[in-house]
Amino acid sequence: MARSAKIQWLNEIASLYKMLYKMQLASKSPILLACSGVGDLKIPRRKACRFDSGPGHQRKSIHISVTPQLDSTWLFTTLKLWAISDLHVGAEKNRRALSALSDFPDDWLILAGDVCERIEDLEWVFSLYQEIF
Amino acid sequence: MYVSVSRISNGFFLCIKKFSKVIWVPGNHELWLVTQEEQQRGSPWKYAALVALARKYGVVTPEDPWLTFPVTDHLIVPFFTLYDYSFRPANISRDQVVDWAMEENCVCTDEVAINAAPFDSIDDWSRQRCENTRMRLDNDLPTDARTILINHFPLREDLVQIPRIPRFSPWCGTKQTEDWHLRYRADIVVSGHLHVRGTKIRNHTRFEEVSLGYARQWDEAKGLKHYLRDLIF
Repeated sequence: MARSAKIQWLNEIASLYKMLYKMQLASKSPILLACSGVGDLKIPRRKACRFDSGPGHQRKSIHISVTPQLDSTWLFTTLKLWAISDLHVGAEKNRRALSALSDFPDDWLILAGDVCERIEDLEWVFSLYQEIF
Repeated sequence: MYVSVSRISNGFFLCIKKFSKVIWVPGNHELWLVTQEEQQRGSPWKYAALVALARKYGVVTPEDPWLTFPVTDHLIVPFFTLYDYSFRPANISRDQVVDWAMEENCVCTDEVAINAAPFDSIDDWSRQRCENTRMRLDNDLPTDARTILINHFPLREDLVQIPRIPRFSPWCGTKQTEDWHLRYRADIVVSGHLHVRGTKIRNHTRFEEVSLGYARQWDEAKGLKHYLRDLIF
């Protein structure tokens, strides 16, 4: 399949998924999406946002990303926002754990300070996210 | 080693990073002067060097334009306001505060590891950071924007609950940021520093303390993922 056609197809799948996700939220029951080449895809039920109350707390949109997998299936995920601080990667145990962390290629990460003391260590952490073309 | 590269059928190489976007704010440890050059130039210089480093890797810093998180349309606002020793009992003056902490062996290593020059003191540096950050937020934050605020130091004194080292509080933040979660319409405020993980609610705003901590303070068997806080779920 040509690259542009593939992207278009992915966009269509993503918008379909988005629609189904909204239907699922409305119907309060899981929906199975069957699609040739994709296999049966169970849409994960997500908990509601844990905002306390007040204005502006409801989820406004759903961002879906579609990632090709090596076995020719497609991985559907919603974008996540993670946060951690005080990694203190100067300690061997902490450094090892960060190296071993799996990939979250679509997600965003907040590093809220005290990553380390040494510039070289901070560069090592930042290099985990370097873009290579 | 840190970038997983997978080959897709049409021959393109698809490069995947561990995360697609990283936002960083400095803590006090990043400001420690480790090398001789750093010691000569001071912590504000080191901070500028770290911001330059972050930009080289595409990491977002407090000095960069704010991003919108597409799932919830929150504006993500990282900032760096340091501390000014104002989290202390009313009967202890600024001049007495280090001695007061020393009585219980709570003096922060920052006292010898950070040099705020050309500022007169860390207090002064903090005041300048607060002033500039407040000005930028007052001028540039859209009036309808909901925000996620990020600062290494807790924004409010009542979030600093450290029963084992209560006299460490002067190094934990500044009273200047007490009402920023209201003033700047935050739904979530992310901080660290205390090594006391937890979630607290103040005026309907969720405050997340997301520390991993020193090696002895977390369980390696659970893996690092266990300690990543999922902010929007």
